[in-house]
Amino acid sequence: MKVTINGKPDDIGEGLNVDGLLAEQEVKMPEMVSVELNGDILRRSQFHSAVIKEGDQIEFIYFMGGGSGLNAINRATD
Amino acid sequence: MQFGVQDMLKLRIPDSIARQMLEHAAAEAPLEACGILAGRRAMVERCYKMKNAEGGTDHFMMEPAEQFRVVKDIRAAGLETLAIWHSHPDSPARPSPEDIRLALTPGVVYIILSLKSGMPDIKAFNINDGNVTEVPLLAGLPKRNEPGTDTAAS
Amino acid sequence: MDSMPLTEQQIERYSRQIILQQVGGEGQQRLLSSRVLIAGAGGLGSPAAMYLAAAGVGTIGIADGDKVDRTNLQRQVIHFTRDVSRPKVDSAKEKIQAINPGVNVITHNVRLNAANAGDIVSDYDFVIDGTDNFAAKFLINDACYFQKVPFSHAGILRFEGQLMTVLPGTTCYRCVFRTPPPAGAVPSCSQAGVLGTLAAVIGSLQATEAIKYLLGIGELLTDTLLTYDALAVNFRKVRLKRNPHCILCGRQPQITILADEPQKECNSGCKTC
Repeated sequence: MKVTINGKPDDIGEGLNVDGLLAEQEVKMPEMVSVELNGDILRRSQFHSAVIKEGDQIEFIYFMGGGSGLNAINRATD
Repeated sequence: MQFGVQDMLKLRIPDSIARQMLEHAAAEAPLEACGILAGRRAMVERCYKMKNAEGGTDHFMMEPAEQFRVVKDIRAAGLETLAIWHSHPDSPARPSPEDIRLALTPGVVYIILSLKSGMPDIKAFNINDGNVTEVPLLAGLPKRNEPGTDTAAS
Repeated sequence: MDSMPLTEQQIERYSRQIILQQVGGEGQQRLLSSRVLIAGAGGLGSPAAMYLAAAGVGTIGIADGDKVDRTNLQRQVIHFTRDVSRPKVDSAKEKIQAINPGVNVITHNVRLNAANAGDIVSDYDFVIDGTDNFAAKFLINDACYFQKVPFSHAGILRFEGQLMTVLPGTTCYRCVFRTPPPAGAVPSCSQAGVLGTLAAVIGSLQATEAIKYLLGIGELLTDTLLTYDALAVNFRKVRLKRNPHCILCGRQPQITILADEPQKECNSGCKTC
């Protein structure tokens, strides 16, 4: 069935939940991904229950973060 | 989302963009500043200043809602996400172990802007599965006939 | 300070700038009665001192505790081959007075530190940071802040340079670059190298800022960091704001007296230092 994933039209199997979609998209670390389904950001608990329907628009992005972690190092060496 | 994890060989950042990054980093100091760079063919055209939801002097985190908005804006402009950058107000321009661990988005360059050396230091890296290699950063406009330019040789 | 009318010799010597509308005879008199300190008679200090002398800044102070070394000659153009092993302040004074005998040169043959910097800078209208290490740059920033003396910050390394002018109340060096890098973390000129001409470009810009300040003309490089990339030929003006969290000039300062920076160990975890 036809859906839009990250702005691109795509054809996926029916009855996939978000977990399944991420697996099909070969997302390596699904626990580090945010998903927006038809404009709504899903809670992680919904990845299992939310089923993709025809015409759905799905966006997913990886967590973007990091940091020098200096304070942890400073505490460790005190 | 980028498909294909070909490492970027170089990244060109125009002056106006580098200036915006430095200004953002200076304005946010001592907190870490962060942003997303978008463009085409290894040439940055836009700098999106992002909110550091972590609000830390040694951590940064973007907000998914803001990330989604920016990604769609980039796409609508016909551009690609080229780089994710953040500042190190108090440490060198090198990815920390945490930076490496959290470099999850494939196909983008990771840029770090350090204010620790007494002079601003900006460096770019490809980070794949824990492997870090430096990516040369070029300034300004490409020269005529440089690979990747639009203009044909004349 | 009351200004004496210009002598014929002075009018002739300075004619090329007196005819500038923004200078005039009055501006020249102001320069002649001004006092500028050059901290560091090295790469940056050399062109700064020479051009300020040429422009007729009446009193030029030079603070440097080192002797001329052969490795200096690549860029410290106020020192000649015959000056090797001589105190830098003496070498500099000699050249300044050869350029312009009308300039009064005060030599401070000392390394600036927390004990002496405050007293030394307080005697001048403007200070030029021509030092060659970042710990000294923070010291000058702090000393000028406490003594309320305007100064020009600058630094050069490899093929890059930077410059900013700090007046009481404008963005200071610590607003952006909080504390110096730990010992060994950042290479000095002797380790990383520097192209000599960087000193000329940036040092001359510092002298220009000093003259503009003394004459009250143009726009000073305050709340702005000018960066210069010699390889790409890029000058970049980065807008800055005074930082409310600055540990020196912010709302809750952590630095309340002039002190020498403790030499911290580099803890960034890299193995290359």
